[in-house]
Amino acid sequence: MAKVYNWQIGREMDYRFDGGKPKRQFAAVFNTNRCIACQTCTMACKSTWTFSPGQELMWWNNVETKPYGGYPQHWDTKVLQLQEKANPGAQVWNTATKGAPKTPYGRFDGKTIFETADGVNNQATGYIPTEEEWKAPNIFEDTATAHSKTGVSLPEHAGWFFYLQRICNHCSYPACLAACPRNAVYKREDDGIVLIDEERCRGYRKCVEACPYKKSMYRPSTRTSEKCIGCYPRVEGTDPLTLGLPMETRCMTACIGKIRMQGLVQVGPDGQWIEDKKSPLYHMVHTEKVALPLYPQFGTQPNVYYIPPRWVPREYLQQMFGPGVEEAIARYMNPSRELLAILQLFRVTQKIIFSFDIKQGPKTAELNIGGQKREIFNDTVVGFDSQGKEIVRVTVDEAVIERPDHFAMNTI
Amino acid sequence: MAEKDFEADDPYEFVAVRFPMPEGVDGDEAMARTFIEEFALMGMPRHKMLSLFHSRFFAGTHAILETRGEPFVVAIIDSVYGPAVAQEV
Repeated sequence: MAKVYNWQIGREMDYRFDGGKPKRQFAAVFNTNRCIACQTCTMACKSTWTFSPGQELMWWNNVETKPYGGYPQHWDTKVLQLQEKANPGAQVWNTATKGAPKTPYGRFDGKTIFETADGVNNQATGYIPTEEEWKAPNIFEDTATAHSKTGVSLPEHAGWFFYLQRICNHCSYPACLAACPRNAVYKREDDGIVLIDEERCRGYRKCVEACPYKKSMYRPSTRTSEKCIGCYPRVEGTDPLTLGLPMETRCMTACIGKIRMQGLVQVGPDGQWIEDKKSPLYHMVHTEKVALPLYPQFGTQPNVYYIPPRWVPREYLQQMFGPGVEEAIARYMNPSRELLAILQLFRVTQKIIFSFDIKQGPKTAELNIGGQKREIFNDTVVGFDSQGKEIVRVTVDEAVIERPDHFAMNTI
Repeated sequence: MAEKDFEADDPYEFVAVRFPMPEGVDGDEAMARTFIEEFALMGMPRHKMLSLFHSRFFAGTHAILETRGEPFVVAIIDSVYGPAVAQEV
C-alpha cells in the first residue's frame, strides 16, 4: 500500500498505487438546489451510451430522491454500514484543524474504504448489489405519504426531499481501479477520466464491488463491466459541433435546470488542483468552498462536487458531504457577486468554460436574503474556452419568459 | 386506476420517507423561502413572484400556496423584497 494525500479528508491514507497524477482532471459542480429531477440528464446518457442489449439495468447517470432513494437501492447506507461495522463508533471527523490549507474540512479520523479492507483479498470494502437493487431506479421515490387509515389517494409532497444527481466521480483514488485484479481499469493522463479496458476486463466484478458509489456495472451480455466514460470523445473535442474544442458531457449539456457545470482543471505534480482563480470550478470548490464532495469519508477523493440543498436538516447533509456543509450553505444563501455571476454560467454553452471574467453592472435591487440585507447588481459574466477566446456572455438578471397557461399542457 | 380503492397489500405501497424536520423548523417555510430567494437572486421582479405560486403548473410552489394560503407566501415575499413600495431600485 502506498501513502497518498487526500485533501478532502485532510490526511494521508493508504491506497494501492502511488496516486495517478493526471495533467488535467475532469471535474464538475452540481447545484442540488435547482434540480427538479426531470431525468433529462439520465435519458441523454442512456440514449447515447447504454441502449444496447445487456445494458438494460445500466444508468451511468441517475438522479435519486434523498433520503429514501438510491440506485442501486440503499447503496450509500449499505456502504456506510459496512464501514461502521469495520470500525465501530470511530468513523468521525476531527474539525479542530478545519480551515487550515491542508485540512480545509478538518481531518477524518475514521477509516476509508481502503483502510478497512485487508489489502489482500479486497482492496476496498464494498459489496455487489443484487439484481433487484439495480433493477428499479426511482421506485417508491417522491411518495412521502405512508399508510393512512383514511386511505391514500395520490402521492403528496407533504414533506420535502432533495434530488441527488450521480455520475461516476472519476475519483483521484478510484476504488474500481484499485480493486481490479487484471489492472483493466485506468485513469487517463490527459483528463483524469477513469475507464475500463474492455479487452482486458474479464468481468470479475471486483470494480462493481469496490466502487462505493456503485458506478461500475456488470454487463451480462459481454461478461464485462462497464462504467461512465465521461463522454471522453466530447471532452477531447472530437465532436464536430465545437470544432475541436473540449465539450461538456451529454448529461451536463442536457440539463434544463441549469444545475451542472463541468470543467477540466489543472493538476500539479502533487496530484492536487493548481490554484486558478479564474476557473469557475476552482472558485466554487476551493476559493469559496461552496461545492462539496459526496461522502468524502469513503476516501476516493471524488471529482464531482455538490452545492448542498439549503432546506435539508444539517445533520443529514454533514454525513453526506462532510463538515463543510454549514459554511457552504451560508455562502450559497448569500452569494458573493462572483458566485452569483458564476451560477449564471451553468449550462449556457456546450463548450467547456475554462475561465471567467466579471464586468460590474448597475445595482438593480435590494433584497433580504437569508435574513441579511443584500444589494443585487446586474453584473455581466464572460466565459472563455481553452484557448482564452470568449464563448459566452450573460448577465446576472435573467430574462423572465412566461408561457401562457393555455400553452402549458400537452403542447410540446 | 385513480378511482380504485387503496389496498394495503398492494406491492406498490408508498414507502418513501420524508426528512424529519428538527423541532421548530417549518419545512414549508424553508422550501418556500428557497424558491423565492433562488428566483429573486436571478432577477425575477417581485410582481412576478406570486404568480409562480398561483400557477398550478408549478407543482412545488403551488402546493405550498394550497397548503398554507396566500398570506403565508406573501409574508415571505415581503421579507425578501422588503415593503412593497420600496423594493426595486
